[in-house]
Order: sequence, then structure tokens, then C-alpha cells
Amino acid sequence: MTMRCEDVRDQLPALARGELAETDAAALREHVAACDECADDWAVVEALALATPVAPVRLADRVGTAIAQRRLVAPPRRRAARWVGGAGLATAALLALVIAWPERAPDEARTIALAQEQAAATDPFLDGEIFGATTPTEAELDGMVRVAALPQNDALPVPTEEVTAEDVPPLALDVGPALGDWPGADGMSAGMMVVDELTYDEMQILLEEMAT
Amino acid sequence: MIATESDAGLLEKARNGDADALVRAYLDDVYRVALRVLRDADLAADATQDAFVNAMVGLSRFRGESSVRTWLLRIAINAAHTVGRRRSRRREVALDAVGDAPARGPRIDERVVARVEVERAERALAQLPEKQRLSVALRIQDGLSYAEIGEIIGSSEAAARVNYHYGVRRLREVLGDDDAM
Repeated sequence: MTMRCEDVRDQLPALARGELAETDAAALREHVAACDECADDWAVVEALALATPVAPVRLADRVGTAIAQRRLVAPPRRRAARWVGGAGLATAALLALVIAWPERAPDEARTIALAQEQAAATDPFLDGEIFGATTPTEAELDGMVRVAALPQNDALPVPTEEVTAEDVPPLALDVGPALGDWPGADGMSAGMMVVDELTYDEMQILLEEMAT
Repeated sequence: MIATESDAGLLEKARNGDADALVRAYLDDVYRVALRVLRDADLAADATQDAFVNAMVGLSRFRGESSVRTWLLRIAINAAHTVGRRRSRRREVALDAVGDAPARGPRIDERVVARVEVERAERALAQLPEKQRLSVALRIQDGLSYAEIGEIIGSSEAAARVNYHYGVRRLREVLGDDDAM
């Protein structure tokens, strides 16, 4: 049975890592041997699979030390909160706030709050999370603020050929007016559809990426 | 990298103060992602350290809605971006820095692909835009699904697939241009 190139290319990484059953691997190799396009993809995948880097030898120890040190230098208010824990959470929180307030100037606290808000608003894959789980409280941010106002997504490649209206198929022309708010988007989208042979759906996906 | 203990066991140890097993299980994965973002081995080591420290600080809030690996790699990307902004505002890193990346794993069989091809592929990968670079690396070198890649880099599954195939196509063009020169 003839394999579809799209399916073959999806499985090339697994082939490179030796994760396929021998019969499946043999079928892929047979296809690659007979298909120039898939053979070119395979050359890239195989080379990158062999280029897989590993961490430096002593990095694990360095990370372990850093984690241990982080525990050893716990902020003073955390120790106070544990001491008054028996008096109730509300009291502990109030005490933590009183202890913390002199350590952080009001404008710095506001800066942190604004940074969190900005990070949540601009970073599509932070979603307000700085540590990967939930948004930390101000008390937990002490010494660990990670502002993440990410730069814009990388621009897609510029078409290598000049595209005229006559070159653009009707479907691309229909897409064009909807992209009018994005500078250069018309030329880029039309160029992508003609030069890079993306399908309409693939182009829409990439354009949605640009907007996020 | 496949953990030798279950993720639940690793997390339990980490919550009890022993993060060593979790670090060793995912160190390569985290480092690799940081390296792909920063394209510098030293900065990647810094980001890897920061990522694991941040993960330990936020460990109590991890609710298992994603896999441990996905969670750690998201943190790694954030840490790498922070390190990159802190140390340098330039996004382009000398290609020589990529060539100084540390040794690779034991799977190298240089009878199959010449060493020079491997280095050319690495340099070409470093030239891709970040999401394409990460999609290609996470798919080929980490064996992640498009859904997992999308979750890590902040894309949909479909966009991760497109970024991967578009990235491989770009690599073919770059390597093909090198051959023609």
C-alpha cells in the first residue's frame, strides 16, 4: 500500500529515534528511498536527531545546590508566619503583611502588580502564570519576580519572489481584505500561498499565531 | 528523557524536600529547551538552574493538569526568556556559540551521517524563528506530540504541526542552499 508523504513525514522523527516497529520502519525507509521530497525531509530529521544535546556533566549538582540554597535563605516573614500559625491564618496573613510592608516600597509593590498584569495580558502562554501553575501571591514573589512581557512572535519569512495580483489565486484574494489591519500582511499572505504552497487552513493558523 | 520513576513518585520526593530525582529525570529535557531558546550553552545552564528553582517554589501549586514534563518545559521557556533579556537584548547569537554546545548523547552513529552534516543542521536550526525552532527540536529530539508542543510553546496543536513542517521545509532550503554553494 502506498504511503502518503504527509503521514511519512510525521513519522520520520520516531524513525530517527528508533521508536517504530521494524515492519513500520522498513515501510518508511522504502518510501524515503523512492521519494525525493521525503528523502530531503529525512536528511534533516536524521541529522537533527543525531545532534540532540545533553546537559553538561555537573549541571545537575549545580541545580541541586541552587535549590538547597533557596530553601536555606527563606524570607524572614515566612518564619514569622509559621510561628504565629497557631493564631489563625488571618492573623498570620496580617502579620506577614506588616512585616513585609517595610521591606518593599509601595511603588515597587505596584510595579510588581503591573508586571503581573502585563505578563498575563501580553504573553499567550503564561496566562498569568509565572511559575507554571497559578499566579503567585505578592508574598511569594519576594526575590523571585519574573516579569514576562514577551516580544512579538517572530516574523514569518518574507516571500522570496515578487507576487503580483495576476499570480494570486482567487482564494488568496478573498483572504487579503480580512488582513488589512496587519502591515504587509496582504503581500506576505499572498506570497506565502504562492511561493510556499501553504494551504488556506495552514495559512490561517499561522496568521492567528501572528496575532497572539 | 523517560523518567525511571513515575512522575507521581518524583513529585512526592520533591515535595518532601528531595528534588534530586526530579532534576536528574528531566535535566536534559529542560536544558535542551533552554538551549534552543537561548542558543548559548552557558546561558542555557543558567536558565536550567532558574527553571528548576522556580519549579520547586511553585511545586505546591502544580495540580497535574499537564504532564510533569510539559509543566517543566513551560517553566524552562519562561526562565530562558528571562535569562535572555537579563544578559543580552540581542536575539541573534553567533553561530559559533551553537557549535560550542556540549557533547551529545550516546546515540551518535557517525557512519550514517557525517559529523559536518550534524553541525550544519544545528546551525541551520539556530536560524529558525523561535516557535519553528522549538517545534522542530521538541518533535525530533524530544519526541513530543504536536499537542504537547503546542501546550509548551503556547500554540494550538494545529499551529505546532504547521510550525514543525514549515521549520523542516526551511531547514531543507537552508541546507540545500549550502550544498549549492
